[in-house]
Amino acid sequence: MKKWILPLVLFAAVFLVSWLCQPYTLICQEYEGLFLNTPDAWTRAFAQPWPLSGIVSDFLIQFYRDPVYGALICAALVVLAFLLCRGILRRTGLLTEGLPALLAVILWVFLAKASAPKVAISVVLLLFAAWLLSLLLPRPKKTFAWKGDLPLALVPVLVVAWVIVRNPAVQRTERFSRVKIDALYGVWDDLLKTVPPSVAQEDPELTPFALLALSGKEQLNERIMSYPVYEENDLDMVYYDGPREYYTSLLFKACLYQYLGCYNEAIHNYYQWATQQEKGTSFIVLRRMVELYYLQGNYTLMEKYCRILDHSLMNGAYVRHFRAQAAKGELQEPTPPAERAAIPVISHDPLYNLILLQKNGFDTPMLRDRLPITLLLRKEERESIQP
Amino acid sequence: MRFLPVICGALLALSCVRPVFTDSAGFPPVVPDYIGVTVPEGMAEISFEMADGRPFKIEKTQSGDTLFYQVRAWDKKTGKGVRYAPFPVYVSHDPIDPYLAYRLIEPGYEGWKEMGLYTRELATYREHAIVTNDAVNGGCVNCHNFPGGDPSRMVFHARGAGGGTVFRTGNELKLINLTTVGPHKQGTYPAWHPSGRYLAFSSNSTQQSFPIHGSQQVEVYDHFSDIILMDLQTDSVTAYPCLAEGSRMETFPAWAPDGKSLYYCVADSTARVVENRGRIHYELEAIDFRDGQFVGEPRTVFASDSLSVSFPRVNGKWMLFTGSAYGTFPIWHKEADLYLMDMETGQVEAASALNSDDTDSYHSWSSNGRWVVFSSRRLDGRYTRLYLAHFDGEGHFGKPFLLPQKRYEHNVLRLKSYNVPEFVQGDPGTLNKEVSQLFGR
Repeated sequence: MKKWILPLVLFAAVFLVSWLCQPYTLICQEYEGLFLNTPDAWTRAFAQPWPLSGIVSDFLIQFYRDPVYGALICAALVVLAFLLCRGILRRTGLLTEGLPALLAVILWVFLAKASAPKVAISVVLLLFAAWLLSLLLPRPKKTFAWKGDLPLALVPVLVVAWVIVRNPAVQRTERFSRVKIDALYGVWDDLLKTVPPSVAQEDPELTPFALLALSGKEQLNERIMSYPVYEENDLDMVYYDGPREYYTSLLFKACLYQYLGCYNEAIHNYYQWATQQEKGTSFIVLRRMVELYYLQGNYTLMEKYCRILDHSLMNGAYVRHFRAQAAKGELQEPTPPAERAAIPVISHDPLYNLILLQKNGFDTPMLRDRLPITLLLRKEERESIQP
Repeated sequence: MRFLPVICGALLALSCVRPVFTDSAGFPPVVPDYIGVTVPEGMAEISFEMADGRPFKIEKTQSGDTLFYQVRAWDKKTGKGVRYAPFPVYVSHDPIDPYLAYRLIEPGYEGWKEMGLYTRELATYREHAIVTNDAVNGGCVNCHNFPGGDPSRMVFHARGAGGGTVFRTGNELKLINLTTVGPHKQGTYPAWHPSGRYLAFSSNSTQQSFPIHGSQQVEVYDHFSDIILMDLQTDSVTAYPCLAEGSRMETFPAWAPDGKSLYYCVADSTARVVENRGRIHYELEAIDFRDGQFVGEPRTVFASDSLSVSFPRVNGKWMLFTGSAYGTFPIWHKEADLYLMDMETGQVEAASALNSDDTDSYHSWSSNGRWVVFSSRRLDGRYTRLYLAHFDGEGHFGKPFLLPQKRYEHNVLRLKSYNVPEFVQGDPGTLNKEVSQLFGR
């Protein structure tokens, strides 16, 4: 019974911390991950370094869409690493809980970082291989054990649990993941709760998302002054420094144009966002293509993306829902060339785009809310650079 | 207890509805449409599925040069099945080049993640990369060309930091940044002279725009373009005034098979290109070429107020080109179709046998002129796929067919478009390592 105490504590700790403190981080990993049973996906998977760990981690991450499953998987991986390490050491005659616990919590740190699940899987696979090899060793004649090993082994587990819960980087990742998901689905109240003015002050990257939520609630005019807005870019995220900001700005623009009803531009930005992702696309981008092409009445392309998602495990209900919707929908006819040549095109200037959209019938409450603020900020910027 | 497996087996067999078939005089509704197509001898087996997703079985028979596919399809729930009339697939003995080369790229916008030039053996489903953008620091690889389908000679561009144009001649590979030589113009669309010594390039300043609504999501256009000539013996580049006029945009060079003239498309330069894009119509012109020099004045070969010409490709007395309502980038134009010109009479007709309701664009002839490959978006309107068709040499095309894959579904699942299909007479091999070295990797 005693030998199960630490694995149980470890499992409970990892599960609870992941589920309670990192649910959005887990969901976001599924959103930006991809596991498809298609020929191209397999070719790509085997072309990458460490293909097996890549395939296993991609496979597991698709279950993270439900954070309970995600937390269970993380906990299971950490405990598995612990058990394998303990098993290997036992074959050498070392009866210790401390060393396996140490390795398991390091693995937990990798999983909590979210950016390196593949590393964690690689470690588990290597441990598994090592454990198989250790079975070939003869049973040890002598064994070594320490008194007080178990209480000592609990220390790193509790310390790491505390560090992950309190770690600012982990908290920031969780907050940013929550903001991304709220923005993608227009959960404005939750987004504003996640990014109050004080948070925007310390994390300016989140300000445009908070302002997007305000305009989604048609409250931008009243509440913008409570947020730290110094320039137009705080509102529309046109300029960016480095790949991370570029990645964020593409997601922001995709969401913005989607809520403004300009689906062509939203698709444009989702495509661009996809090219910045590890596999060139992701579950969320594929699902967003289904939704946007459905909204556009382009059921042929919607069906293509449905069929691709059908080659994953967790999207069956989603695909069935959209296929049923499309069966009742109205098909969009292609625009004739003469008409098409006169359609205005989007620019890199958000103010120009808002005016263009308004002139072309995209007169949404969000647009009405954002246009005067964009104008004011532009005017402010122009005046500030005048001598 | 010992009868349990037998009982379970019997229950399982009873639970499956055995289909009952009725005969139909019609052909089956299959995707892609392979009914009545002409395929080259020795090509990989075609694969298709029922358009309505029903399960089906195929019986294949052969009579002379015609293959017959009899399809039996049934409804899983009701068990009602239909035995359709066998549909024919004609086998032509006209040889076809054994390989196709093309680029695979996400059909997106300004950016990409992975792209590469690939080759596919037509007798099998085997596809492999010639070069991918991994080898060129993630930049763009595009506009590949093999002179006369010769796999040992190739040109393509590698954009991005340290980029340029890569020339392959046998085992020799060299990288030249065309903007640093001669008229300092970068190369875009290449055309290799039949002698192998010269290469004509268009040099285009290309941009994209994104319409705010409507079914067309991207418009691509040139602000200006010229044609330049490269001599591969001296690595020198020359711009000729008549092909580099500031008031005109010259593009899409293509040599006549005898190398005595160059065909290209040309339109007047326009201010505010985006707003005026509907008025831009590219004409087809030609200029004579003698002793390594363009001579004489350009002459108009075809001009129309309602059709913009791109990608002229000559095959004996026939020229195939893409025609769209306006502009210079037909792949985003649903109305884009292929047109065949009889160069002896100047008569132009839509190649109706090849065209569809969606985009039909970039095309190339096989080395014997009996087959054509072209790109089409008819499957889903977005992802370009390759179609092949037989040509009888008398101005008639056979019904085009989708490049066969092991399973048709591969065409649906693949998230990349096929660009610039070219026939190749052998396997060009893999150049990733060599190209990486050119890029100091």
